[in-house]
Amino acid sequence: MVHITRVLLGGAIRPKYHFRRKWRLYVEKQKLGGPVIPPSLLEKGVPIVNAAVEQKSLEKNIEQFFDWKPDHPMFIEEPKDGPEHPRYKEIPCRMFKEDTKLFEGVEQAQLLTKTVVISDAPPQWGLQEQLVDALRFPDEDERVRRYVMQSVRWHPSEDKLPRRSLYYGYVAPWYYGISIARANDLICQNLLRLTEMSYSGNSQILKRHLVKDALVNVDYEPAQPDDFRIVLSCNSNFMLTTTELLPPFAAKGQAQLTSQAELPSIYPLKPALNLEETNLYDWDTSYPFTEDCTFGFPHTIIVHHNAPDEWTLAQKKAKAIVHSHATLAALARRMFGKDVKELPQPLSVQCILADRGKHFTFYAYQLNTLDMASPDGIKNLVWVDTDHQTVKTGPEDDPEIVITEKPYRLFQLADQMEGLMGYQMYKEKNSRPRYKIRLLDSYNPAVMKKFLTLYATQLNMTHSNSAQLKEPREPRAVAV
Amino acid sequence: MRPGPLFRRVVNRSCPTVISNRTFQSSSLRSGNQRTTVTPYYDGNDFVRDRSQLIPRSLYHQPEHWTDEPEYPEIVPPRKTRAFVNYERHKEAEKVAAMPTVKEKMAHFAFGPPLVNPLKVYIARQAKLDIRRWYQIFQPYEIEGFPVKYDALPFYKHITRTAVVADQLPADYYAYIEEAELNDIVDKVRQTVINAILAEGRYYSKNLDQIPVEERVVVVQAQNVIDALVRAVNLAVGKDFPHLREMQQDTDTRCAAFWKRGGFLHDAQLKRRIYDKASGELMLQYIEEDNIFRNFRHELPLPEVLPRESCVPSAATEQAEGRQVGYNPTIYGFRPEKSIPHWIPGHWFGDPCEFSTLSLDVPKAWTRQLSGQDEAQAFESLACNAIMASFGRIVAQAMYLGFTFLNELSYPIVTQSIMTNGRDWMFATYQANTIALWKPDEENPFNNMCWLTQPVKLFDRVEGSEVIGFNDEVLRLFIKQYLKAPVTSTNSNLRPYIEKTERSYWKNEHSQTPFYHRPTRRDGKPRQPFKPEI
Repeated sequence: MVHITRVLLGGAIRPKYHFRRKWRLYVEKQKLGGPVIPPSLLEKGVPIVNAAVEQKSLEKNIEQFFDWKPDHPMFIEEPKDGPEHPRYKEIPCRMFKEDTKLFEGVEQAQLLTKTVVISDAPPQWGLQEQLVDALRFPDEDERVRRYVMQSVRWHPSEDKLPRRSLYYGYVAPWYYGISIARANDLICQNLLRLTEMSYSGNSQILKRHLVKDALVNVDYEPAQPDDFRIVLSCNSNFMLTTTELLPPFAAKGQAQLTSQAELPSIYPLKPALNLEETNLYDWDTSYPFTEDCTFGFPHTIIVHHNAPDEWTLAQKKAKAIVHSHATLAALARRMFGKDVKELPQPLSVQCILADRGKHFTFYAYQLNTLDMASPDGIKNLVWVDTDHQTVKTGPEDDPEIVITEKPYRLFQLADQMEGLMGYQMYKEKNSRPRYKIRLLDSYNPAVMKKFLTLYATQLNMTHSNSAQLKEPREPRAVAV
Repeated sequence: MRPGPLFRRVVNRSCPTVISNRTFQSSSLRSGNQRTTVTPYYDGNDFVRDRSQLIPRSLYHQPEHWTDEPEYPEIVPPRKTRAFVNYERHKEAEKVAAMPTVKEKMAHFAFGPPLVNPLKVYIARQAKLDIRRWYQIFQPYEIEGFPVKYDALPFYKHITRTAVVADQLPADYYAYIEEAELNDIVDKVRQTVINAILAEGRYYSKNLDQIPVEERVVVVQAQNVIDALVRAVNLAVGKDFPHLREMQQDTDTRCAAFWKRGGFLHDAQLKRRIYDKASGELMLQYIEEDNIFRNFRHELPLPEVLPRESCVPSAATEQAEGRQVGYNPTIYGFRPEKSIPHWIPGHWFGDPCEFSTLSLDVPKAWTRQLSGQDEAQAFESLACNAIMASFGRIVAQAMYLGFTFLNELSYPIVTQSIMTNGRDWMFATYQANTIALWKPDEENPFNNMCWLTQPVKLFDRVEGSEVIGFNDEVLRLFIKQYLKAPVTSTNSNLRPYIEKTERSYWKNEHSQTPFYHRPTRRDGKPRQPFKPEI
């Protein structure tokens, strides 16, 4: 057995070593004899300057010659995570961030935000869904299929995907392709674009404004003196805003009924279990828009979930609930003052959790109170809309029917390449053979319908697209 | 006396097919859908005096080696001449045109003939080495869109063979929309755009701290304003113009194109490669990594601005524009880089929407380089960028359509480009009539055309909650370009050099196609038919 080495393959062998060796010989030679000054120059009286010495003196005095004060952020040293940091507080807090996974899922989120959960779509959505069918374009499915293929296959980005750890002892190569975050972003952008196109012609939607990366910060004083401070720092990847508040999802009587409902208990755990303890935080409430902004009322927020590790559905739900709550809490403090407890007027928002650009869940949140200290009294409300899978087992006479909750799945690829880390387009370097993404297996139009439904909130719907589309006014040129 | 034919047929041993008696002059570049079946063969071996010696003796008396009329071998022009370069190019053009798929065409130009020993490749695969390195034999000049040196407009015109019509867009081309209707749309859109400009300082974004203050204006504001503008037009008239819905939208995409350009004066590469010296031909690779913010594509092309026959360079225009330089690209700051030729018009191959209608570019170099320049210099830099972005995109998309720099376009391709930093906007309309630029200019009848405006300001400045000096003209120009519809149908074949033009990605249409890595059923029964899960 001959070992296949680079020598056999004729590659360059230790080029650095040879270069250094040659260079060392050259330098030694120079040292022995020294640089030879041509006698003709000496005769003419040309001044000889040692370039090395001159260079050093120039480098020392370089600040005299240049007024070079870089103000680019890359040149500014990051402050260390100590007391010198501008955001340092002596009292530590527990912070909810983008990647905080609440282990106890929905129950923990309920305790954090004092919320009662209803596992169903709000009644308004049911009414809107009936109207939405008239809006759908005949070629809508084809459009969305293309968006999916663009996000997993056709986009030419070369993001560096995280390494896959296949098994011990094998160093997996780097792959380049469409990262999960980018695929998620592409899908959401395109679905929103098609949604808005479906509603075009309605003059009310011109008041809506779309904002990217809207950051919200909310601070909560500890309920008991030995508790931690709690800070919710939530980033919504898209925030659709309007000029008016959304109408409440629950009637007044229904909201009052929540005072009878009991929050779940996760004793002996505390609700702030998974929140990270830190001294670096902002101890204030911030809302993305300034006070004089007229179009800053949230309509729908889209939260991306691109975490590389596995989350249960309940944990993802918890993430969406906290994001919706934080957005409204910041708005409520802006509108009704810092110390507001029970809100004079309920606030509401809709939320879409986009999980890797593939799985979607939909939420409607109504904020009734910010009185977090006591578990009693009126509570907040959230409607969680998920898909259901029905499985029949057992004999045909007496079947056992199991209904499992699962998110709306937008698509399934025919090829076996699943986008856990990202979508890899072609083999990079000496990689192992991998399945290429070529075909789309299944596609679920329910997701697009949900987008249309959520967009219809607060609109008077009068027009329809399913009828014969209007012909273009002029016959367009035909010859090419 | 043998009754058979009298003249011996010229036969090459390595080419058992019949050689046509057509001479080189008759086998010119084919045009349109016409397709030649017989290719003249020449193996490059001049040292065989009598080709009849190549015939085995046992076959010497067979009738297929004799003809009634003499057939002469094709006349190969002498080497080291311009004619020989032409001859080789035409042969290659026919070879590429006969390739049925785009992948083969791209591989032909990217990797060339198999120069690497297949045994070596096999061993390397076993050793898990990267063999792509061995294929990187080309050193094309890497051209950027934004020029790095001053006075580069003549160079960009030369490498793209473009005639510029400055300070205007073609009026007739955009006369499809009436003035009153345009004003209506502008009225609907205006407030949303003003809101977007005002929102710049009004909401706090997480990523904003990472961007320096100077670039924040360019990058963030430009992206917000573009997004708001496109969105507002979609909301206002999206339903009336169905092509808006039918278009695919690329976000933060990249572009790359490879082509050859003749007519350069002198180069170190040319010294080495003696055949290309005659035409002064260089390889160019255009690469745009992160400046393209939005790109809209449709299944059908935009209608042509001018008939192709009228886009002929005249002596007067050339004189007015000055001499087209053939200086080396290194003079303008571009260096040859080892790379594989590749073509990316904003998407990978497979997307059915292959005709780019409008692209919105946000050049990052805008603040870095344009800050110290006066208006004329700024216009020149942006004009270079607009020309290069449009031409590069068209070359790449033409490759996906089956046209290469050897197989000329059979119809003109039109695209539109916008250069903007959010405040200043520059509009361009580009019509590509030719991409076969390896020929000297005397032999190529067509010229590419580019219509350009001066940079127009969308607004002057923001004071408090007011936008001062808001200019509707920018909205008008943008709306005219964005709403320009492609043709509804075509009589001509859009992809004459490709056999299979259907692009399908939906599994239902592939039910008969076996999947390569798919596990088969153990019991030998056919696979279950596809059931959608909905």
